[in-house]
Amino acid sequence: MKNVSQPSWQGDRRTSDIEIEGIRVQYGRLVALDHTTMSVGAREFVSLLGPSGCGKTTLLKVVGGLLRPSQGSVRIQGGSVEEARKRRAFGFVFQDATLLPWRNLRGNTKLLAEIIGGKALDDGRIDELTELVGLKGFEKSYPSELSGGMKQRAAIVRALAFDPQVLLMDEPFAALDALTRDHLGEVLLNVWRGQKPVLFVTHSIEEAAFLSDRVVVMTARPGRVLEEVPIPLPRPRTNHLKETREFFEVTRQLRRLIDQAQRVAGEEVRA
Amino acid sequence: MNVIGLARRAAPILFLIFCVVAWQLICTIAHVRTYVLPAPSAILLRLYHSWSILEPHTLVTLEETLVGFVLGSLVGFVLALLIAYNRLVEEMLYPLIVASQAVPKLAIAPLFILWFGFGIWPKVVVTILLVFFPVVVTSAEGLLWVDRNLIDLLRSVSANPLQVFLKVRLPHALPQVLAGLKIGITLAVVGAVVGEWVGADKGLGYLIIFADSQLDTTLSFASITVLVAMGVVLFLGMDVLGRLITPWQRVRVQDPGL
Repeated sequence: MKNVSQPSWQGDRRTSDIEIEGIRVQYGRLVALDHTTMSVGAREFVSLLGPSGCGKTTLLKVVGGLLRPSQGSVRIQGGSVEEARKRRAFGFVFQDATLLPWRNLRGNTKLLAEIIGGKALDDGRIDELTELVGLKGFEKSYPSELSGGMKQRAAIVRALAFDPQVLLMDEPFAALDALTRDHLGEVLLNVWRGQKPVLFVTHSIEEAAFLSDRVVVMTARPGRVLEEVPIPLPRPRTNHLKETREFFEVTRQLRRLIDQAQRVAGEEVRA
Repeated sequence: MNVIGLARRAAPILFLIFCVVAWQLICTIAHVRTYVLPAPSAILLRLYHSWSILEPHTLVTLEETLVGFVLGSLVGFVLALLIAYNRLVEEMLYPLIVASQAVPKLAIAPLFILWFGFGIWPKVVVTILLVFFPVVVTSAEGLLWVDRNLIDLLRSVSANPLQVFLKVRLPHALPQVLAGLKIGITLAVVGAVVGEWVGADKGLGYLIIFADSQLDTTLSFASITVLVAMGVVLFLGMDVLGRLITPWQRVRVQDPGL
Protein backbone atom coordinates (compact mmCIF):
# COMPACT_ATOMS: atom_id res chain seq x y z
CA MET A 1 0.00 0.00 0.00
CA LYS A 2 1.73 3.15 -1.09
CA ASN A 3 0.45 6.65 -1.11
CA VAL A 4 0.59 8.30 -4.49
CA SER A 5 0.72 11.92 -3.45
CA GLN A 6 1.92 11.77 0.11
CA PRO A 7 3.14 15.27 0.96
CA SER A 8 6.54 15.60 2.53
CA TRP A 9 6.25 15.91 6.31
CA GLN A 10 9.35 18.08 6.33
CA GLY A 11 7.95 20.41 3.71
CA ASP A 12 5.98 23.57 4.19
CA ARG A 13 3.15 22.57 6.49
CA ARG A 14 1.05 25.46 5.27
CA THR A 15 0.61 23.78 1.91
CA SER A 16 -1.44 21.02 3.59
CA ASP A 17 -4.37 22.23 5.63
CA ILE A 18 -5.24 18.83 7.05
CA GLU A 19 -2.47 16.43 8.06
CA ILE A 20 -3.63 13.00 9.23
CA GLU A 21 -0.83 10.86 10.66
CA GLY A 22 -1.10 7.23 11.77
CA ILE A 23 -4.66 7.39 13.08
CA ARG A 24 -6.07 4.40 14.93
CA VAL A 25 -9.57 4.31 16.39
CA GLN A 26 -10.70 1.43 18.56
CA TYR A 27 -14.13 0.75 20.05
CA GLY A 28 -13.50 -1.88 22.67
CA ARG A 29 -11.98 -4.78 20.70
CA LEU A 30 -13.17 -3.50 17.34
CA VAL A 31 -10.56 -1.57 15.38
CA ALA A 32 -12.51 0.84 13.19
CA LEU A 33 -9.52 2.60 11.69
CA ASP A 34 -5.83 1.78 11.64
CA HIS A 35 -2.57 3.24 10.29
CA THR A 36 -4.41 5.95 8.44
CA THR A 37 -2.20 8.64 7.03
CA MET A 38 -3.28 11.20 4.47
CA SER A 39 -3.58 14.91 3.90
CA VAL A 40 -5.73 17.56 2.29
CA GLY A 41 -4.14 20.54 0.59
CA ALA A 42 -5.06 24.16 1.20
CA ARG A 43 -7.56 24.43 -1.64
CA GLU A 44 -8.04 20.77 -2.34
CA PHE A 45 -11.25 18.74 -2.64
CA VAL A 46 -10.52 15.26 -1.33
CA SER A 47 -13.03 12.40 -1.19
CA LEU A 48 -12.89 9.38 1.08
CA LEU A 49 -14.30 6.48 -0.92
CA GLY A 50 -14.84 2.96 0.33
CA PRO A 51 -17.24 0.19 1.21
CA SER A 52 -19.49 0.72 4.21
CA GLY A 53 -17.79 0.00 7.50
CA CYS A 54 -14.40 1.22 6.31
CA GLY A 55 -14.29 4.00 8.88
CA LYS A 56 -14.78 6.96 6.53
CA THR A 57 -17.22 8.67 8.85
CA THR A 58 -15.04 7.81 11.85
CA LEU A 59 -12.07 9.49 10.17
CA LEU A 60 -14.15 12.57 9.38
CA LYS A 61 -15.23 12.83 13.01
CA VAL A 62 -11.62 12.51 14.16
CA VAL A 63 -10.58 15.31 11.80
CA GLY A 64 -13.42 17.51 13.04
CA GLY A 65 -12.60 16.90 16.70
CA LEU A 66 -15.84 15.05 17.44
CA LEU A 67 -13.99 11.82 18.18
CA ARG A 68 -10.64 11.30 19.87
CA PRO A 69 -8.36 8.78 18.13
CA SER A 70 -6.72 6.00 20.14
CA GLN A 71 -3.46 6.73 18.35
CA GLY A 72 -2.03 9.18 15.86
CA SER A 73 -2.43 12.87 15.30
CA VAL A 74 -4.33 15.34 13.17
CA ARG A 75 -3.02 18.84 12.45
CA ILE A 76 -5.29 21.51 11.06
CA GLN A 77 -3.37 24.34 9.39
CA GLY A 78 -0.39 23.53 11.56
CA GLY A 79 -2.34 23.56 14.86
CA SER A 80 -4.24 20.99 16.88
CA VAL A 81 -7.80 19.89 16.17
CA GLU A 82 -8.95 21.37 19.48
CA GLU A 83 -7.51 24.78 18.58
CA ALA A 84 -9.19 24.59 15.20
CA ARG A 85 -12.53 23.67 16.75
CA LYS A 86 -12.23 26.52 19.25
CA ARG A 87 -11.69 29.06 16.48
CA ARG A 88 -14.64 27.50 14.62
CA ALA A 89 -12.64 26.25 11.65
CA PHE A 90 -14.99 23.38 10.75
CA GLY A 91 -18.12 23.47 8.65
CA PHE A 92 -19.94 20.14 8.91
CA VAL A 93 -22.62 18.69 6.62
CA PHE A 94 -24.15 15.32 7.50
CA GLN A 95 -26.21 12.81 5.54
CA ASP A 96 -29.38 14.07 7.22
CA ALA A 97 -29.89 17.79 6.91
CA THR A 98 -30.85 17.90 10.64
CA LEU A 99 -32.69 21.19 10.25
CA LEU A 100 -34.63 22.48 13.25
CA PRO A 101 -38.37 22.06 12.52
CA TRP A 102 -39.25 25.18 14.55
CA ARG A 103 -37.03 27.48 12.50
CA ASN A 104 -37.70 28.54 8.95
CA LEU A 105 -35.04 28.14 6.28
CA ARG A 106 -33.48 31.49 7.08
CA GLY A 107 -33.37 30.71 10.80
CA ASN A 108 -31.81 27.34 10.09
CA THR A 109 -29.08 28.67 7.84
CA LYS A 110 -28.25 31.23 10.51
CA LEU A 111 -28.11 28.77 13.42
CA LEU A 112 -24.38 28.11 13.62
CA ALA A 113 -23.34 31.65 12.74
CA GLU A 114 -25.69 32.85 15.46
CA ILE A 115 -24.12 30.55 18.05
CA ILE A 116 -20.64 31.79 17.16
CA GLY A 117 -21.86 35.37 17.10
CA GLY A 118 -19.80 38.48 16.39
CA LYS A 119 -18.38 38.79 12.90
CA ALA A 120 -19.44 35.25 12.01
CA LEU A 121 -23.05 36.40 11.69
CA ASP A 122 -23.01 38.06 8.30
CA ASP A 123 -26.50 38.39 6.81
CA GLY A 124 -25.13 39.50 3.46
CA ARG A 125 -23.03 36.38 3.20
CA ILE A 126 -25.99 34.15 4.08
CA ASP A 127 -28.12 35.91 1.44
CA GLU A 128 -25.41 35.38 -1.14
CA LEU A 129 -25.01 31.68 -0.32
CA THR A 130 -28.77 31.15 -0.24
CA GLU A 131 -29.01 32.60 -3.73
CA LEU A 132 -26.00 30.63 -4.94
CA VAL A 133 -27.55 27.28 -3.98
CA GLY A 134 -30.89 28.33 -5.49
CA LEU A 135 -32.95 28.75 -2.35
CA LYS A 136 -33.73 32.45 -2.75
CA GLY A 137 -37.43 33.03 -2.15
CA PHE A 138 -37.77 30.07 0.23
CA GLU A 139 -36.29 31.84 3.28
CA LYS A 140 -39.60 31.86 5.13
CA SER A 141 -40.44 28.21 4.42
CA TYR A 142 -40.27 25.64 7.20
CA PRO A 143 -38.31 22.37 6.78
CA SER A 144 -41.56 20.37 6.59
CA GLU A 145 -42.39 22.32 3.44
CA LEU A 146 -39.03 21.69 1.72
CA SER A 147 -37.86 18.76 -0.41
CA GLY A 148 -34.91 16.60 0.62
CA GLY A 149 -32.61 18.34 -1.84
CA MET A 150 -33.63 21.80 -0.61
CA LYS A 151 -33.04 20.78 2.99
CA GLN A 152 -29.57 19.54 2.12
CA ARG A 153 -28.81 22.79 0.30
CA ALA A 154 -29.89 24.65 3.41
CA ALA A 155 -27.51 22.46 5.44
CA ILE A 156 -24.68 23.46 3.08
CA VAL A 157 -25.50 27.16 3.49
CA ARG A 158 -25.61 26.67 7.28
CA ALA A 159 -22.16 25.03 7.21
CA LEU A 160 -20.64 27.81 5.10
CA ALA A 161 -22.50 30.74 6.67
CA PHE A 162 -19.76 31.51 9.17
CA ASP A 163 -16.98 31.08 6.60
CA PRO A 164 -15.20 28.08 8.15
CA GLN A 165 -11.67 27.29 7.04
CA VAL A 166 -12.37 23.61 6.41
CA LEU A 167 -15.46 21.88 5.01
CA LEU A 168 -16.21 18.36 6.27
CA MET A 169 -19.02 16.50 4.54
CA ASP A 170 -20.36 13.07 5.50
CA GLU A 171 -22.29 11.53 2.59
CA PRO A 172 -24.35 14.71 2.25
CA PHE A 173 -26.18 13.54 -0.87
CA ALA A 174 -26.53 9.84 -0.08
CA ALA A 175 -30.19 10.06 0.92
CA LEU A 176 -31.21 11.97 -2.23
CA ASP A 177 -32.47 10.67 -5.56
CA ALA A 178 -29.96 10.37 -8.42
CA LEU A 179 -31.09 13.47 -10.35
CA THR A 180 -31.04 15.70 -7.29
CA ARG A 181 -27.66 14.29 -6.34
CA ASP A 182 -26.19 15.17 -9.75
CA HIS A 183 -27.58 18.66 -9.53
CA LEU A 184 -26.34 19.28 -5.98
CA GLY A 185 -22.87 18.10 -6.99
CA GLU A 186 -22.70 21.02 -9.41
CA VAL A 187 -24.19 23.36 -6.83
CA LEU A 188 -21.55 22.31 -4.31
CA LEU A 189 -18.68 22.95 -6.76
CA ASN A 190 -20.13 26.39 -7.54
CA VAL A 191 -20.27 27.29 -3.88
CA TRP A 192 -16.84 25.87 -3.12
CA ARG A 193 -14.93 27.40 -6.08
CA GLY A 194 -11.68 26.01 -4.75
CA GLN A 195 -11.64 28.44 -1.88
CA LYS A 196 -11.11 26.01 1.00
CA PRO A 197 -10.13 22.43 1.68
CA VAL A 198 -12.96 19.89 1.58
CA LEU A 199 -12.97 16.38 3.01
CA PHE A 200 -15.92 14.57 1.48
CA VAL A 201 -17.09 11.10 2.54
CA THR A 202 -18.98 9.09 -0.07
CA HIS A 203 -19.66 5.58 -1.27
CA SER A 204 -20.48 6.77 -4.77
CA ILE A 205 -17.66 6.33 -7.29
CA GLU A 206 -19.20 8.82 -9.73
CA GLU A 207 -19.67 11.43 -7.05
CA ALA A 208 -16.09 11.08 -5.83
CA ALA A 209 -14.71 11.29 -9.38
CA PHE A 210 -16.84 14.27 -10.34
CA LEU A 211 -16.19 16.41 -7.29
CA SER A 212 -12.64 15.67 -6.23
CA ASP A 213 -9.07 16.70 -6.93
CA ARG A 214 -8.02 13.49 -5.25
CA VAL A 215 -9.85 10.35 -4.11
CA VAL A 216 -8.61 8.33 -1.15
CA VAL A 217 -9.84 4.75 -1.48
CA MET A 218 -10.21 2.90 1.80
CA THR A 219 -10.55 -0.76 2.79
CA ALA A 220 -12.75 -2.05 5.59
CA ARG A 221 -12.19 -3.89 8.88
CA PRO A 222 -10.05 -2.21 9.93
CA GLY A 223 -10.36 0.94 7.85
CA ARG A 224 -7.13 1.78 6.04
CA VAL A 225 -5.98 3.83 3.09
CA LEU A 226 -5.65 1.52 0.09
CA GLU A 227 -4.68 4.04 -2.56
CA GLU A 228 -4.79 7.73 -3.36
CA VAL A 229 -5.96 8.58 -6.84
CA PRO A 230 -5.47 12.06 -8.31
CA ILE A 231 -8.34 13.15 -10.56
CA PRO A 232 -6.79 15.13 -13.44
CA LEU A 233 -10.12 16.30 -14.88
CA PRO A 234 -10.26 20.02 -15.73
CA ARG A 235 -12.28 22.56 -13.75
CA PRO A 236 -14.79 24.14 -13.74
CA ARG A 237 -16.77 20.92 -14.04
CA THR A 238 -20.37 20.44 -15.07
CA ASN A 239 -22.41 17.27 -15.32
CA HIS A 240 -21.48 17.01 -19.03
CA LEU A 241 -18.07 15.90 -17.81
CA LYS A 242 -19.65 12.59 -16.85
CA GLU A 243 -20.23 11.79 -20.54
CA THR A 244 -16.56 12.04 -21.43
CA ARG A 245 -14.03 9.28 -21.97
CA GLU A 246 -11.64 10.76 -19.41
CA PHE A 247 -14.33 10.62 -16.72
CA PHE A 248 -15.08 7.03 -17.64
CA GLU A 249 -11.38 6.15 -17.33
CA VAL A 250 -11.26 7.65 -13.85
CA THR A 251 -14.37 5.83 -12.62
CA ARG A 252 -13.08 2.57 -14.09
CA GLN A 253 -9.85 2.94 -12.16
CA LEU A 254 -11.75 3.75 -8.97
CA ARG A 255 -14.11 0.83 -9.45
CA ARG A 256 -11.20 -1.56 -9.78
CA LEU A 257 -9.74 -0.22 -6.54
CA ILE A 258 -13.06 -0.59 -4.75
CA ASP A 259 -13.25 -4.22 -5.91
CA GLN A 260 -9.78 -4.70 -4.53
CA ALA A 261 -10.76 -3.00 -1.29
CA GLN A 262 -13.65 -5.39 -0.87
CA ARG A 263 -11.42 -8.38 -1.64
CA VAL A 264 -8.89 -7.23 0.97
CA ALA A 265 -11.69 -6.90 3.51
CA GLY A 266 -12.95 -10.39 2.63
CA GLU A 267 -9.49 -11.94 3.05
CA GLU A 268 -9.01 -10.32 6.43
CA VAL A 269 -12.35 -11.59 7.63
CA ARG A 270 -11.44 -15.12 6.53
CA ALA A 271 -7.99 -14.84 8.11
CA MET B 1 -68.21 22.63 3.11
CA ASN B 2 -69.84 19.48 1.79
CA VAL B 3 -72.42 17.36 3.62
CA ILE B 4 -69.94 14.68 4.68
CA GLY B 5 -67.56 17.32 6.06
CA LEU B 6 -70.39 18.93 8.00
CA ALA B 7 -71.54 15.58 9.40
CA ARG B 8 -67.94 14.77 10.33
CA ARG B 9 -67.73 18.01 12.32
CA ALA B 10 -71.10 17.66 13.97
CA ALA B 11 -70.62 13.99 14.92
CA PRO B 12 -68.89 14.52 18.30
CA ILE B 13 -71.51 17.02 19.45
CA LEU B 14 -74.39 14.88 18.18
CA PHE B 15 -72.98 11.88 20.04
CA LEU B 16 -72.79 13.83 23.28
CA ILE B 17 -76.39 15.01 22.85
CA PHE B 18 -77.44 11.43 22.12
CA CYS B 19 -75.88 10.20 25.39
CA VAL B 20 -77.53 12.93 27.47
CA VAL B 21 -80.93 12.31 25.84
CA ALA B 22 -80.60 8.56 26.43
CA TRP B 23 -79.77 9.21 30.09
CA GLN B 24 -82.76 11.52 30.38
CA LEU B 25 -85.09 8.96 28.78
CA ILE B 26 -83.90 6.10 30.99
CA CYS B 27 -84.51 8.21 34.12
CA THR B 28 -87.95 9.34 32.94
CA ILE B 29 -89.28 6.07 31.53
CA ALA B 30 -87.94 3.81 34.32
CA HIS B 31 -88.92 6.31 37.05
CA VAL B 32 -85.44 6.16 38.58
CA ARG B 33 -85.50 7.87 41.99
CA THR B 34 -83.63 11.15 42.07
CA TYR B 35 -81.39 10.10 44.99
CA VAL B 36 -80.28 7.04 42.99
CA LEU B 37 -79.62 8.74 39.65
CA PRO B 38 -80.86 12.26 38.88
CA ALA B 39 -81.84 13.06 35.29
CA PRO B 40 -79.65 15.52 33.34
CA SER B 41 -82.49 18.05 33.36
CA ALA B 42 -82.64 17.91 37.16
CA ILE B 43 -78.89 18.38 37.41
CA LEU B 44 -78.96 21.39 35.10
CA LEU B 45 -81.80 22.95 37.02
CA ARG B 46 -79.93 22.39 40.28
CA LEU B 47 -76.79 23.97 38.79
CA TYR B 48 -78.81 27.04 37.95
CA HIS B 49 -80.66 27.34 41.25
CA SER B 50 -77.78 26.43 43.57
CA TRP B 51 -75.00 28.29 41.76
CA SER B 52 -74.63 30.66 44.72
CA ILE B 53 -73.72 27.61 46.86
CA LEU B 54 -71.53 26.00 44.19
CA GLU B 55 -69.56 29.10 43.19
CA PRO B 56 -67.42 29.67 46.32
CA HIS B 57 -66.59 25.95 46.48
CA THR B 58 -65.68 25.98 42.78
CA LEU B 59 -63.29 28.87 43.31
CA VAL B 60 -61.59 27.09 46.21
CA THR B 61 -61.07 23.91 44.16
CA LEU B 62 -59.93 25.93 41.16
CA GLU B 63 -57.34 27.70 43.29
CA GLU B 64 -56.00 24.42 44.70
CA THR B 65 -55.95 22.93 41.21
CA LEU B 66 -54.04 25.82 39.63
CA VAL B 67 -51.53 26.27 42.47
CA GLY B 68 -50.91 22.53 42.54
CA PHE B 69 -50.62 22.38 38.76
CA VAL B 70 -48.10 25.23 38.51
CA LEU B 71 -45.96 23.92 41.37
CA GLY B 72 -46.24 20.30 40.20
CA SER B 73 -45.22 21.30 36.65
CA LEU B 74 -42.23 23.23 37.97
CA VAL B 75 -41.14 20.31 40.14
CA GLY B 76 -41.60 17.95 37.19
CA PHE B 77 -39.63 20.13 34.78
CA VAL B 78 -36.75 20.75 37.20
CA LEU B 79 -36.51 17.01 37.88
CA ALA B 80 -36.53 16.40 34.11
CA LEU B 81 -33.63 18.84 33.71
CA LEU B 82 -31.65 17.07 36.42
CA ILE B 83 -32.37 13.71 34.80
CA ALA B 84 -31.48 14.92 31.32
CA TYR B 85 -28.17 16.42 32.39
CA ASN B 86 -26.91 13.85 34.87
CA ARG B 87 -26.89 10.12 34.40
CA LEU B 88 -26.29 9.45 38.11
CA VAL B 89 -29.23 11.64 39.11
CA GLU B 90 -31.34 9.80 36.56
CA GLU B 91 -30.44 6.44 38.06
CA MET B 92 -31.00 7.69 41.61
CA LEU B 93 -34.25 9.56 41.02
CA TYR B 94 -36.16 7.53 38.47
CA PRO B 95 -36.99 4.55 40.74
CA LEU B 96 -38.19 6.94 43.45
CA ILE B 97 -40.27 8.93 40.98
CA VAL B 98 -41.94 5.78 39.68
CA ALA B 99 -42.44 4.46 43.21
CA SER B 100 -44.12 7.72 44.21
CA GLN B 101 -46.86 6.98 41.68
CA ALA B 102 -47.52 3.53 43.09
CA VAL B 103 -48.31 5.02 46.51
CA PRO B 104 -52.12 5.30 46.88
CA LYS B 105 -52.74 9.03 47.28
CA LEU B 106 -55.94 8.53 49.24
CA ALA B 107 -54.01 6.49 51.81
CA ILE B 108 -51.33 9.09 52.47
CA ALA B 109 -53.48 12.20 52.11
CA PRO B 110 -54.47 12.13 55.82
CA LEU B 111 -50.75 12.35 56.65
CA PHE B 112 -50.51 15.56 54.64
CA ILE B 113 -53.15 17.12 56.87
CA LEU B 114 -51.02 16.13 59.83
CA TRP B 115 -47.94 17.68 58.20
CA PHE B 116 -49.32 20.71 56.39
CA GLY B 117 -52.38 21.68 58.42
CA PHE B 118 -55.97 22.01 57.38
CA GLY B 119 -55.80 24.77 54.75
CA ILE B 120 -55.02 24.72 51.06
CA TRP B 121 -51.57 23.07 51.34
CA PRO B 122 -52.40 19.38 51.89
CA LYS B 123 -54.64 19.55 48.79
CA VAL B 124 -51.91 21.31 46.82
CA VAL B 125 -49.38 18.65 47.84
CA VAL B 126 -51.64 15.81 46.65
CA THR B 127 -52.09 17.71 43.38
CA ILE B 128 -48.34 18.22 42.99
CA LEU B 129 -47.80 14.49 43.52
CA LEU B 130 -50.18 13.68 40.68
CA VAL B 131 -49.10 16.43 38.30
CA PHE B 132 -45.31 16.20 38.40
CA PHE B 133 -45.15 12.62 37.15
CA PRO B 134 -46.39 12.97 33.56
CA VAL B 135 -44.44 16.24 33.27
CA VAL B 136 -41.14 14.73 34.42
CA VAL B 137 -41.48 11.65 32.21
CA THR B 138 -42.42 13.46 28.99
CA SER B 139 -40.02 16.39 29.54
CA ALA B 140 -37.07 14.11 30.27
CA GLU B 141 -37.79 12.14 27.08
CA GLY B 142 -37.95 15.33 25.06
CA LEU B 143 -34.75 16.73 26.55
CA LEU B 144 -32.81 13.48 26.19
CA TRP B 145 -33.77 12.32 22.71
CA VAL B 146 -32.08 14.91 20.54
CA ASP B 147 -30.58 13.91 17.18
CA ARG B 148 -26.97 12.84 17.67
CA ASN B 149 -25.92 14.66 14.49
CA LEU B 150 -27.46 17.87 15.71
CA ILE B 151 -25.47 17.72 18.93
CA ASP B 152 -22.32 16.94 16.90
CA LEU B 153 -23.06 19.93 14.70
CA LEU B 154 -23.24 22.23 17.71
CA ARG B 155 -20.12 20.70 19.24
CA SER B 156 -18.28 21.34 15.98
CA VAL B 157 -18.68 25.08 16.51
CA SER B 158 -17.94 24.83 20.26
CA ALA B 159 -21.45 25.82 21.34
CA ASN B 160 -21.72 26.17 25.11
CA PRO B 161 -24.24 24.07 27.09
CA LEU B 162 -26.58 27.03 27.59
CA GLN B 163 -26.74 27.65 23.82
CA VAL B 164 -27.40 23.97 23.18
CA PHE B 165 -30.18 24.07 25.76
CA LEU B 166 -31.86 27.24 24.56
CA LYS B 167 -31.49 26.76 20.83
CA VAL B 168 -32.01 23.02 20.50
CA ARG B 169 -32.90 20.96 23.56
CA LEU B 170 -35.65 23.17 25.00
CA PRO B 171 -37.54 23.84 21.76
CA HIS B 172 -37.07 20.21 20.81
CA ALA B 173 -38.59 19.12 24.15
CA LEU B 174 -41.45 21.65 24.10
CA PRO B 175 -44.05 19.47 22.35
CA GLN B 176 -43.40 16.68 24.85
CA VAL B 177 -43.41 19.06 27.81
CA LEU B 178 -46.77 20.37 26.63
CA ALA B 179 -48.12 16.83 26.26
CA GLY B 180 -47.12 16.21 29.88
CA LEU B 181 -48.79 19.46 30.97
CA LYS B 182 -52.00 18.45 29.20
CA ILE B 183 -52.14 15.19 31.14
CA GLY B 184 -51.09 17.05 34.28
CA ILE B 185 -53.85 19.65 34.17
CA THR B 186 -56.61 17.01 34.16
CA LEU B 187 -54.88 15.12 36.97
CA ALA B 188 -54.63 18.39 38.92
CA VAL B 189 -58.42 18.57 39.24
CA VAL B 190 -58.48 14.99 40.54
CA GLY B 191 -55.66 15.78 42.99
CA ALA B 192 -57.47 18.76 44.48
CA VAL B 193 -60.65 16.74 45.00
CA VAL B 194 -58.78 13.79 46.55
CA GLY B 195 -57.13 16.26 48.92
CA GLU B 196 -60.49 17.72 49.90
CA TRP B 197 -61.98 14.28 50.27
CA VAL B 198 -59.77 13.51 53.24
CA GLY B 199 -60.40 16.64 55.22
CA ALA B 200 -61.79 19.98 54.15
CA ASP B 201 -64.56 22.41 54.99
CA LYS B 202 -64.79 23.92 51.53
CA GLY B 203 -64.25 23.00 47.90
CA LEU B 204 -66.24 20.85 45.47
CA GLY B 205 -64.80 17.63 46.91
CA TYR B 206 -66.08 18.66 50.33
CA LEU B 207 -69.44 19.61 48.81
CA ILE B 208 -69.80 16.16 47.17
CA ILE B 209 -69.20 14.41 50.51
CA PHE B 210 -71.65 16.74 52.21
CA ALA B 211 -74.32 16.20 49.53
CA ASP B 212 -73.86 12.41 49.63
CA SER B 213 -74.33 12.41 53.42
CA GLN B 214 -77.65 14.24 52.92
CA LEU B 215 -78.68 11.83 50.09
CA ASP B 216 -78.74 14.96 47.91
CA THR B 217 -77.48 13.10 44.85
CA THR B 218 -78.52 15.93 42.53
CA LEU B 219 -76.19 18.39 44.27
CA SER B 220 -73.45 15.76 44.18
CA PHE B 221 -73.90 15.37 40.41
CA ALA B 222 -74.07 19.13 39.95
CA SER B 223 -70.69 19.43 41.71
CA ILE B 224 -69.24 16.64 39.56
CA THR B 225 -70.53 18.42 36.45
CA VAL B 226 -68.69 21.58 37.49
CA LEU B 227 -65.51 19.53 38.08
CA VAL B 228 -65.80 17.91 34.65
CA ALA B 229 -66.36 21.29 33.02
CA MET B 230 -63.34 22.67 34.89
CA GLY B 231 -61.15 19.79 33.74
CA VAL B 232 -62.27 20.06 30.12
CA VAL B 233 -61.85 23.85 29.96
CA LEU B 234 -58.38 23.70 31.54
CA PHE B 235 -57.37 20.91 29.16
CA LEU B 236 -58.59 22.84 26.12
CA GLY B 237 -56.76 25.91 27.41
CA MET B 238 -53.51 23.94 27.59
CA ASP B 239 -54.17 22.55 24.12
CA VAL B 240 -54.61 26.02 22.64
CA LEU B 241 -51.54 27.30 24.49
CA GLY B 242 -49.56 24.35 23.10
CA ARG B 243 -50.58 25.11 19.53
CA LEU B 244 -49.58 28.74 19.98
CA ILE B 245 -46.16 27.91 21.42
CA THR B 246 -45.30 25.10 18.98
CA PRO B 247 -46.84 26.06 15.63
CA TRP B 248 -44.45 23.74 13.77
CA GLN B 249 -46.21 20.77 15.36
CA ARG B 250 -49.45 21.53 13.57
CA VAL B 251 -48.96 18.93 10.88
CA ARG B 252 -50.71 15.89 12.24
CA VAL B 253 -50.32 12.47 10.73
CA GLN B 254 -53.67 10.80 10.72
CA ASP B 255 -54.33 8.23 8.05
CA PRO B 256 -57.39 6.10 8.75
CA GLY B 257 -55.88 3.44 6.49
CA LEU B 258 -52.94 2.88 8.82
